[in-house]
This record gives sequence, structure tokens and C-alpha cells, in this order.
Amino acid sequence: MDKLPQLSLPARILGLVIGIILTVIGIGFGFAQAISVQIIILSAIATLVLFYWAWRYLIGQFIDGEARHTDGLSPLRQAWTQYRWPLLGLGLILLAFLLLSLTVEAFFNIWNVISLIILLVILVLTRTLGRQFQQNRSAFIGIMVLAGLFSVGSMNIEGFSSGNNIKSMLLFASFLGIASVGQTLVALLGGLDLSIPFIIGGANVGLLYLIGLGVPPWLAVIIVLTIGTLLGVINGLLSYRLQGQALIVTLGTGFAISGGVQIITSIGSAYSGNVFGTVPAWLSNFSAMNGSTFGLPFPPVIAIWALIAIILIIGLRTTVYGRYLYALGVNRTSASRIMISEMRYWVAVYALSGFFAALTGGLLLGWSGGGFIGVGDQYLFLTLAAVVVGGTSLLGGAGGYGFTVIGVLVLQVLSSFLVGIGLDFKWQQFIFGLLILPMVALYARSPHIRTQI
Amino acid sequence: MSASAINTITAATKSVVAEAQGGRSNPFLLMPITLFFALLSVAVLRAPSLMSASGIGAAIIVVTPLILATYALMASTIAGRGTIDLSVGPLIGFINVTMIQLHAAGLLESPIPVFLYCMGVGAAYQLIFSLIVIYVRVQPIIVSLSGYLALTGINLVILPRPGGTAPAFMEEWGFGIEIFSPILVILLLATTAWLLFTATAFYTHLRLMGSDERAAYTSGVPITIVRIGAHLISGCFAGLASICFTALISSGDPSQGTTYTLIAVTALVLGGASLGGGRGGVFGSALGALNLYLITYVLSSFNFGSVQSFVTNLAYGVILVISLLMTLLIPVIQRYIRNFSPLLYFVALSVVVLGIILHATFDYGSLGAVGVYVPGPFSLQAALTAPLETASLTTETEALRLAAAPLVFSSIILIIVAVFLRLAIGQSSRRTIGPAVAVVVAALALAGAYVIAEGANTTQTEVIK
Amino acid sequence: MTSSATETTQIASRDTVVVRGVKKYFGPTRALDGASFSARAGEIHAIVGGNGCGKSTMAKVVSGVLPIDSGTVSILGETPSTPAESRALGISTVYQEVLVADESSIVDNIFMGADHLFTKTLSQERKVSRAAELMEELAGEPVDPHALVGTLPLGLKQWITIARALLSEPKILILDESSAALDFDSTERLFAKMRALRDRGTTILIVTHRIAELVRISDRATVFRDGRDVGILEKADITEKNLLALMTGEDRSGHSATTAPIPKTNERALKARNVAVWRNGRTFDFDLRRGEIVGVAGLDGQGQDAFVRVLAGVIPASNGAVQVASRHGTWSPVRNLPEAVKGKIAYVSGDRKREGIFASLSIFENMVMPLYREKKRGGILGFVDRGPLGTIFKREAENLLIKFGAKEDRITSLSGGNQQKVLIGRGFAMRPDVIILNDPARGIDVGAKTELYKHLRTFAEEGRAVIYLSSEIEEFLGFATRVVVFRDGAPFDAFDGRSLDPKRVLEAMFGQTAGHGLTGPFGLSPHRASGLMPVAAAGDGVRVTVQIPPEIKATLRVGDTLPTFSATPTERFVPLPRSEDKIASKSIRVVEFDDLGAKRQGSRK
Repeated sequence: MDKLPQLSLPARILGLVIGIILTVIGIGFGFAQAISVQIIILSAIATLVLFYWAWRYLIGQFIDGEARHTDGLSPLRQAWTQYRWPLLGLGLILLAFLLLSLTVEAFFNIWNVISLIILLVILVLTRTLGRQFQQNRSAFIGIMVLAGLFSVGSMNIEGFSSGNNIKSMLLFASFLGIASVGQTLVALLGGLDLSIPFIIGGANVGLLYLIGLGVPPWLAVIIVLTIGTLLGVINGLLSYRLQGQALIVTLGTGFAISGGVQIITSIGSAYSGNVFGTVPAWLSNFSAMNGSTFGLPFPPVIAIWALIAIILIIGLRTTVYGRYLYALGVNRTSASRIMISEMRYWVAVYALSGFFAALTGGLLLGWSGGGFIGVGDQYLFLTLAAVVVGGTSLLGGAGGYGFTVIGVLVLQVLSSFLVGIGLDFKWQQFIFGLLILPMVALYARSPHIRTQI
Repeated sequence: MSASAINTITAATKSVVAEAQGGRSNPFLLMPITLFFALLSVAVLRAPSLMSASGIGAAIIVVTPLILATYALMASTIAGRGTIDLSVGPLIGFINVTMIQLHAAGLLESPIPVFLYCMGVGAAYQLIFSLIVIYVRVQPIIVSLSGYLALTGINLVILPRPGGTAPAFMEEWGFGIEIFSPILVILLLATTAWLLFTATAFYTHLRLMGSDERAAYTSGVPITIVRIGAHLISGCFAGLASICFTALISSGDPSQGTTYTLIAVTALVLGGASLGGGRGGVFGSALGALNLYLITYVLSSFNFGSVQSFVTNLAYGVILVISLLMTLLIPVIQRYIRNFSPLLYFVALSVVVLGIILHATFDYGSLGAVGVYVPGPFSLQAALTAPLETASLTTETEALRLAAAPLVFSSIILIIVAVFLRLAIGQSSRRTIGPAVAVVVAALALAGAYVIAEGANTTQTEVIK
Repeated sequence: MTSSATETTQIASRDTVVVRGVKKYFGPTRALDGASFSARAGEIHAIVGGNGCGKSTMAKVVSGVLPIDSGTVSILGETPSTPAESRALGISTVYQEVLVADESSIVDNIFMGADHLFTKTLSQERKVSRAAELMEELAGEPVDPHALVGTLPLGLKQWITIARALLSEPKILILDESSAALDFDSTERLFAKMRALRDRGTTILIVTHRIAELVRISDRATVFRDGRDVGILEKADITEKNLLALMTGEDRSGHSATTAPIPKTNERALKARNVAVWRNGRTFDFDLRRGEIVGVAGLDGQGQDAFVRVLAGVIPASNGAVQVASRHGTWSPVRNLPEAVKGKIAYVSGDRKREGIFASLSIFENMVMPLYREKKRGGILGFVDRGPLGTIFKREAENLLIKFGAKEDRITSLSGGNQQKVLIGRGFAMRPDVIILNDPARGIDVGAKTELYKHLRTFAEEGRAVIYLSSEIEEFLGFATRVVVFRDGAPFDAFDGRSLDPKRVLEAMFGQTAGHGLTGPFGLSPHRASGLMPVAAAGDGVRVTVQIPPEIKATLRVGDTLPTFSATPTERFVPLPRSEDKIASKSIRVVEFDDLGAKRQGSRK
């Protein structure tokens, strides 16, 4: 304890006050739930002590040895000026909690109080410890949020931490993760690929169409993946020529791809846009919930995603190609001076994006069992959201696939959590939208214009 | 020797300077104008019914929300920092569904509260947007992504499935049977408002800030206020777009509005605006949106049966990519045409297209025994009275006439075009192009109105027959 | 010396800018650490110092861009906190970077910020005529005020920023390295304008590290070092020696104490035959011997920049061939970057922000990134082998005395001079035989420069060769073996580095010398006088008499599609249609003049 930085008196008083408030809330709920008095007292003491210890330890991180101005301000006022925003935030959260408790029935339970405390701890931790991480702050924040969400979820929702639920979360995370590979790589280069959902849809429909035509499934998969890659190459060439317009170029090619695929699959078919056929069993096994990998009880798609993630993370960090990708993303003129071919990387990255989008489309076919062009639609912004929440800069040169994995998991766990508490897709989307902003604001604020001159 | 050499060099320098500078006007409008007239010609040739009162009326009803959505996007895009407001579509949807629900709750009955509400909500949303961009300093594209997801979700919460009724006064707006509908008035007012706005210093500030924010900041431009202002304008346009959208569908729809995002972005790019900021205007944006409408229209005139919507998608995508690729040619064009005047180009092409419209809507079969074909009201008058006399013509003469008329027609048009192109390229370096253009534009507008009126009459006559 | 030095100087009642004990921190970096100075009305006050001494920060503090952490700033009795406020006070600033809005017209750019929020201060017509007038006065040539700024050359853009500052007859004018984008003549015009303003009572603050310029123009100079002021020099005391002594903190004059390296052999490291750097430009030969340092100079946009880029394979030559010799004496062509690297030519750009550093990557990666390809393991998998690269990094970092914390830190944590050293280290890390430096000393302080010269001299003495382009002639003193001056896209004159007279070099840059040096032993091809192309014969007549007017020089800058013109009514003309890197292969427009001065136009392949 002697290593702890000395807290100023106001900070200590403040901590104590907040701790007492929390304890009182806890006691209130305890009585409301008619838990035995001994337990209430014990847990109240525990809450207070734990909170106060955490307060001293964590707030201590704020003090970075700077000389304290002890001019005539009153201690409370000092505390206020020093921790104005965190305190306001805390106040708001407590207020929201109180309001919810008063309005929503059955919101009073010990689990929710614990959830609140976990939430607060995460916030304080990210504010304090996050400062220690200069480079990978977003990853740290992401992991914190992930851990918090998961613990809160498993406490509040029955079966949240059950094997099955984790498996299903991982399954959906795999789809999103594989779809986000391309978006991450492209973002590292400073581009965007909005054609991903359209290629996913196209591959999904096209694969079933080919199988329906009697092409052997393995060949059909190879054909679809090749076409996906080729479309990626076209995207790459076009976006390279039209620097800075990648967003709109890929949107255009995406429209064209989805239109084109549907025209082809609809010719001679009575059902416009819908393709019917039988999905081969091995493909279903690949991505179905009850699939198995070499006898192990989880679908192979999770293993595939894990493998891709490992290869990409290592590849981006330690290979020449990965490092040159970052170099190009940071400064393309400098990169061209050391003979990094911009076009080659640009095309390669978009080709990979096309490949992985087609792969996702194929795997989704195995999951759903029927072709549907709109299957990828939600990935239009979800891949972007995963990249952004993970912490890869959309301007290029910073981030990595490891970050995206965290982003994908955060989105997936959050969505499971929201489903668990009874919110459907539209609410999820709403909350995703509101979540992205503070996540990005925590680690990727642009510099003030004053500092850019 | 040396003195003369110096003189020559000085003279040379002057010309060098004049040459070194690019055109003053916006060559980026070249593409949308060309595309617009190309599409218009095809559309008119394929389906002449476009050029009737109901055809144009329907077009206006459908295209106005899109144009206004593009305006909304444009206003914030000009402000720079890569502000591509992806949330514009969901915002339109949000205003739509909340308006419908409030209307169902008995509020928002008369026009004034509806307008105030819609523009107010749009402006309020954009105000929050701009404050986040300015003070939280998150990239605008991320704020808009966030807004897109959040609004899309909440729209479905507010109105789970399409339904409800629009306020009563809007009922008739969406019929689109005549040209001069309230929707057109909204569109014209919005456009005029923007054009008036461009005359203020605020607009200059906005453009300068969009082009280089640091330069604007260091020069003392109040960038915070200017950015907020741009977003407020954008929000008002979004509100208007939402009103027109509501009038179009006469009900509430939580997901339809969302599609406006992608279309409006496409329209903005087609209109030659810079997504980086600092360049863009109502002319280009309106043309971009019109082009998209015309693409759909032309494609719908071909009967693709069940794959119709897919062909539209394909065409959207391909045209978008091609028009982007064409912008690569702009520097080349700029090199050859130094002082390109979009207005004159527009006028020149509209003469051509007017000719095509005349050709398409003109009923050659009913051409009377008028000696030489003369384009204009006179021949149209003749055309209306002609059918009585057709019988006297032999089939050969008629065939000859039919063959000759387009030829005569196109040669006249070619001459006019040549004159105008000469004017456009040669004289546009003058400060003002002069009243000539205004006269021509006015004449064209009158002629166009006349043709349309006649076209409407013709269809009516046919119906009566 | 501390800030107490300034306290003792009498504070005149006419003091307009008074700065006392200003501190400004950027995180751990102390940009200003208790700096003070004061400037009076009607004087040109220079703020001088090496890199990272805080002089630019001070300019931004005075113009209200940066808020200060402590201290007092009083400008005409007020303390502006935003550029808008400072503008209202009558402070105009021209920043280091050329800040213009490319998508807007010249008029709008000049009047940027002059209007109220909704109403204009002047009618559009008045603005146009005022802008045209101002630009003609400043740039010395008529300019179409409606032209889009994005289509203009950099020199004119710089004038636009200056015109913007001069628009409202400022009470205080701050020029932060504002002559950087201007050529010699334009600088002179700017100086004349500054003197006129000073005589009308304006306080002019110039922030610069171009010592030669400030010696000529300034009335008083405050020298900064490490974020504080270390001394004030009155007009009479402003000499190069005094300034350097204050800037570096020790009494040394930077260079001229040493002698230029003399090659021991006549063996060539690099040769260029019949090369032309511009389309249809004059062709010439060039030889580089092992063990020498060749200085390349010229007015901006006269082809010297293109020349060193051609030699380094960054851009292709318009005509002719460049060849590089291997250690075994075999010659191989240099047509592009890969061939240049294979031939062991390294290129270091002075424009580090644009074509040098990778801002968010580590110092280590920034230096050894080009070597990744060579030092990789695992074949096609291409894993980077950090072991040998670490050794190389350590060697170069020590050789160049780069100051850094950890090698994993971002390069942006270094000062500008150290960043440049990392880039030079990147060049050396490739173990080149020939190193080509394109104005590397731009923005480096004197101390770092001296180290760099020392290092390059050792490099040359080891039997390798250096080509060094510089925009400051003084850099070549006691450093370059010979100096080649460029003019109109070809060498114009050459000088022996051991007896270099900066004045003569300057004259050559303006075409006022006979060009005999080219054929001499220190010309383009030393000791090979027979193989020379007579580029500039003495009796040429035209060249000697024609003075290139300043208007032309402004247009001779980087502009992308400059048309060509002929100085004489003959067929000879000097074309420069080139963009930064690519030379358009299209036909170019030629504007010629007949004897009567009428314009003939045509196009030429």
C-alpha cells in the first residue's frame, strides 16, 4: 500500500461519499428483495471497502507526479475542476440507474446492482489504466468492455455463459470476422470496401445456383471463390485509379455485382432472385450449430476463423508484406520511394477482400441452407463497425486484424446480451449505433485544429 | 536584340500565366450535363409519355425527395473533413415515421406545424451531429455511421411496419398528375433558397472551410459557426425531403427512407461534387438525382420482366463507376477547354434535346401537306389540324417526308449547336455571357412549356378519339 | 545567458508586441520554456534559432493559434486567443505551410476571413479589382483573379497567402518561413514590400532559419534556443557569426573550417550520357567520380531537382541514359528506382513529410524498412528478420548521432532534424556506393548540419560518391568538391569547390557568368574535356544578355502543364511540361512569337 500515490483529501472524501451512496443503494435493494439482514450488512461493508480501495488505487493513476496547485480554492472545488467530466459521467449513470429502478418494475435486484458496479469499474479502469497504453489503447478498452459485458451477461441472463450460447456467439462472430478481414486490410491501406455485402449475397446465391446446375459442390466453391477474388481485383484496380473515392467505387461495383448475379441466376427461372437447391451436407456441417470439427463438437467455421485470425495477426506484424501494407497506409509517396508497389498491394488487398467476402457467402449458405441475395446486407455497416470499434483507423496505417477480432467479439457479445434481455434486432442496431461513438471517442479523437497548423 | 527578346519574353509570360491557370468554372459539371441529356433523349425516344403533364408531374413527385436528400447531403459535404452523411436516409425515415405517429396521435394537422416540425427535427439532429464533430472531434464519417445504425433501429421501433396516414393536406400532393404541384414549389423554393444563400459571405466561408479548414481557421473564418450552419442547412433540406417523401408514399415507412442514403451519395457523386469538400452545388446535385431517376425510367421502358430491379441495380452500379472513371478525364478536358461554361453547354445541349423531344412527341404520321417542315409552334398547329389532309398524300410522298423530316431537323439542330458551342468555348472568358443566354433560356423554357402543353392536349385528343 | 538579458533592454513606449515568460508544453515536450521578447512599431524583428527552438511555436502563440500554459502575451495591449481575434486586432500571419483553399478562386482566397459572417465587406467587383491589383504588385505579373487556386504553381499560392496578410494594412505582420516557397527574385520583392510596410510603422516579425536572408533584412533579432530567448542582437550586431554563436551556444561558424574531399582516382561511379531532364530540353553529359561530393544548385525550378531525381531513378530521363558502375567496373543502366537500388544508389529526399517518413511507424522501421526485402526469412512467407536489421539500425543511429528514446517509439516523437537523420540513415543503411541527397538540410539546425557534412565527407573518403542538392549556396563551402549550377533544365556553369565564391555561384544561377567552368577540370566530366557537349558557349549572345524577368521564374515552378515559350524567334525553346513525377507523353502546346510579337500556337510531339 505504501506504493499508492497519496490522494488529496477532497478526492478521498469524494470516494468515500460515492462508496457510501453505492452501499446505501445496495442495502436498499437488499431489503427490497428481503434478503437476510446479516448478508446485507456483510455485503454492504464489502462493497464499501472494495470500492474505497479501488477508488484510491485507480484515482491514484490520475496523478502523474505533477506539482499540485494549492491556491486558495476549496478542496471540494478542486476536486470538481480536476475530475469534472468523470464525475459528471458517474452522476449521469447513477441517475439513469435510479430512474430505471423507479420506472421499470423488477429492476431492483442484486444482479443489476452488481452489473452497475461492474460497469462503473470498467469505466474507471478504462479512464485510468487506459492511459498507460499509448499504442494499443483501443484493444485494452475493447477487452475491458468485452469482459464487462460477458460478466454482466452471465449474471443477468440465464444460459448466457452456457456452452451452447458461447458456441452460437462464436459461430456468428466467425461469419462477421471472416467478412471483416477484407474491410480491415482495406482500411489499413486507407480505403473502404462497401462491396463486401453484395459479394457475400452474390456468392451465397451463385453457389447454390451452380450446385443446382449440377456442378460438383467442391468445384462450385472454387469457382465462386475465384470469381469473388476477380471481382476484388476489379475493385482494387478501380479504387486505385480513383484514389480517395473507394467508398463510392465499391458501392457502385457492389450494386453491379448483386444486379448481375441475380440476372444470371434468374434467367430461365420462374422465381426472380430466389434460388432453390440442396446444400451438400459437408457444407452444412461447416457452419451449422451442430457441426463438428474432426469429431470435436463445434462447427469448423470457428476453427477456420481462428486460423485466419492467427495467420493474419502474425502476418501483419512480422512479414514483409504486412509491414509494407502499413507503410503504404501511412505514406504512399514515401512507400513508393522505397519501391513498394502501391498498385500491387491495393489490388491484392481488395482481391483478399473479395475472396473472404465470397467465402463468407459460401459459409452462410451452409448455415442457412438456402440462397438469399440479401444475406449479406447487414454486413454493409457491421464490418465497418467491427473495424472501427476494434480501433483500426479508417485513414490507413494504424490498427490490425487483432483489433478487429476484438471489435467483432464486442459486437457479437453485445448483440447476444441484447437478445438475452429481450431486445430484438432493431434495438440492437440502435444500441450499436450509439455505442460506436463513445468507443471511437475514447481512443480515436482527431487532433484539434490548433495543433495541425 | 536583347531588348526585343526581353519584350517577347514579357509578352510570352503574360500568355504563359493566362495559359497556366485552369478554367474558372466547374468542368466537373460536364459529365452530369452530358449524361442528363443523353438519358433524357433516350428516355424520350423510348417512352415519349414522359413529356406529358402527367409524365413530368410523376417525375417531379418521385425525384423531388431524392433531389432534396442530395441537397441535404451536399450542404454538409461541402463543409469538408470528408463529411459524407450516411445517416441522411435514416434521418428522412425518422422524420417520416415520427411525423406519421404524431399525426396519428392527433398532433400535426396543418401544414405550418408539419413543416416546422420536420425541418426542426432535421436541424436538431444535424446540430447534434455538428457539435459531436466539432467538440468530441470524431471523424464525421463515423458519426454518420453511428447515426445510420441508431436511426435505422429506432425507426423500426417507432413504426414496426409501413402504414399510417399522412396529414390530410398532403393527400393530393402525391398524385403527380400535373406539373405545378406543391412538391414542385417546395423544390423550387429550396433550390432558390440555396442559390440566394450562395450570394452571402457565409457560403464563401463554407466553401473555403471545406476546401482547406486550416487556411480558413488561420484567416479568421469562424469555422465552428460555419460548420454548425452547414449542418443546420443540411437538416432543413432533410426535413423538406422527408415531407416530399411522405407526400410520395402518403404514409409512413421505416425502411424505405434508409435507401435514400446510397442513392443520394450516388447522385451527389454523379453531380460532380467533391466528397472531400469545398465543391458542389444545387445544379450538379439536382442533375445527379435527375440522372438516377432517368436511368430507372429508361430501364423501366425496356421490359425486363422479373429481373427489372436487378437490371436497374446493375445499371446504377455500372453508370456510377463509369462516371467516376470519367472524372479522370477532367484534367485532360481542362487542358483543351480552358474556359468551359457549364451554362452555355447546358443551353446548347438542351436545344438538341428539345429537338429530340419534338421529334419524339411529334406525330409524323399526322404530318399535313405543309410545304417544308418548320420546327416550332406553327408546324405543331398544323400537326393538330393535319389528319384531315393526310389522305391526299400518296404513300411515297409520305415516306419521303418521314425520311426527310429528321434530316432537315437534325441539320438545323447541328447548326444551332455549332453556333452555341462556338459561343460557349470562345466567348465564355468574358466576365458575363450577356443577356443572350437569358433570352435563349427563357425562349427554351417557353417552348418547352408549350410543347408539353400541346403534348397533353394531343393525348387528350387521342383519348377523345 | 537567460531571459534576464531581455529584461535589461529598455522597453520603448512603442513596443507593440510584448511576450514575457511564456511556457508552452506539448505533452512532455517543452516547446517554449519561459521565452520572452518584445518588438516595436516600425521595425523588422527576426526570431531566429535552430530546429525545435520554439520559434514557430512563438509565432503561433503571438497570432493566437496556440493557447499558452503560462506567462503573458500582450499585443497592442490585448491577448488574442483565436486567429479571428488576432485578425481583428490587426495581426496578420503568413504561416510556414502554404494555406490556401484549392477549390476556390484567387479572390476568395485573398479575402478569406475578411467578410462578416453573412455580409461582405466589399462588393464582389471591388474585391476582384483589389485582388488583381495586389497580386500584380506582389507577384510582379498579372494574374486572373478568378482562376482556381488549385491550378496555380506553388510560388503564386505563397503570394496569395502573403496578399491575404497584407490586405488590411496590418499593424503587426508575422512571416513564418514565408520565403521558403519563393525564389530569389520574389524574395527580393517581398523584402522591398516589407521595408515599405516597416516605414509606415508596421511591426514585422520574421521567423526564419535562413541566416543570410535575415542578416539583410532585419533590424533586430531575438535568438531562441531550447524554448527560451538567449539574446537580442541590434542591427549592427546581426552577423552570421554572432547569430550562430548564440544559436548553437558555442562560438563556431558551422562550416568553412574544413576542406572539400578530393577524389584519389579518376574512376567513375556514375555517368550520364546525352541526358535531358526536360522534354526537348538541352542534353548534356555528367560524370561522377568515386570519392567526390558534387554540389548541385540552381534557382527553383531550373531542372536541378529533376536532375538529381533522374540520377536516382526516381523519375525517368527525357533523353539519354544514366549508368552506374559496380565495384568490378561493369556498367549497368539506371532507368527506374529498382535499377538504381540494384546499382547501389540511395536517394534521400529533403521533403521528409511528403516523401520520407512513415509517421505512425517506429523509428526502427522507418530506417530499415527498405532492407526488409533483403533480410527476410522463410522464402515466400517473407518473415522479417529483426536480428541483422537491429545491428544495422544500431550502427547507423550511432554514426549519425540520432537522439531517440526507444527504437520502438514513433518517428514523430523525434525532432525534425532527428527525423531527417533517420532518413539519411535509411539511405546509408542500404550500403550505397552513391548517395543522392535532395536538399536534406531543409529544416535542420546548424549542429545537425555539421554532423551530416562530417559523415558525408567520411563516406566520400571511403571511395564512394555523393550528390548533394541544396537551396543554400553556403552549404557547399568547404564541403563540395565541385558545384554544378543548373539553369533552364541543363547545367549552366560549374565551380571548383575548394575555391568556391558564393557570389559567383549566385551570378551563375542568374545566368550572369560565361559558363566556362563546364569545360574546365571541375566541370561536368572532370578531366574529360574532349567529350563535352558545348552547352553554353561564351559567344552565345542570347543567354548572356537576357535577364529572365521575375514573372517567368514564378511560372517556372512545379506547375503541371506549363506551356513552353521561346526566348528568341528561332526554333529553340525551353519546354518544361512536367508534373512532379510523371512526364506527360502527350503532345505539348507550344506558344511561340514571331518577330512582331504576335502569338503563334501549335502543338508538338
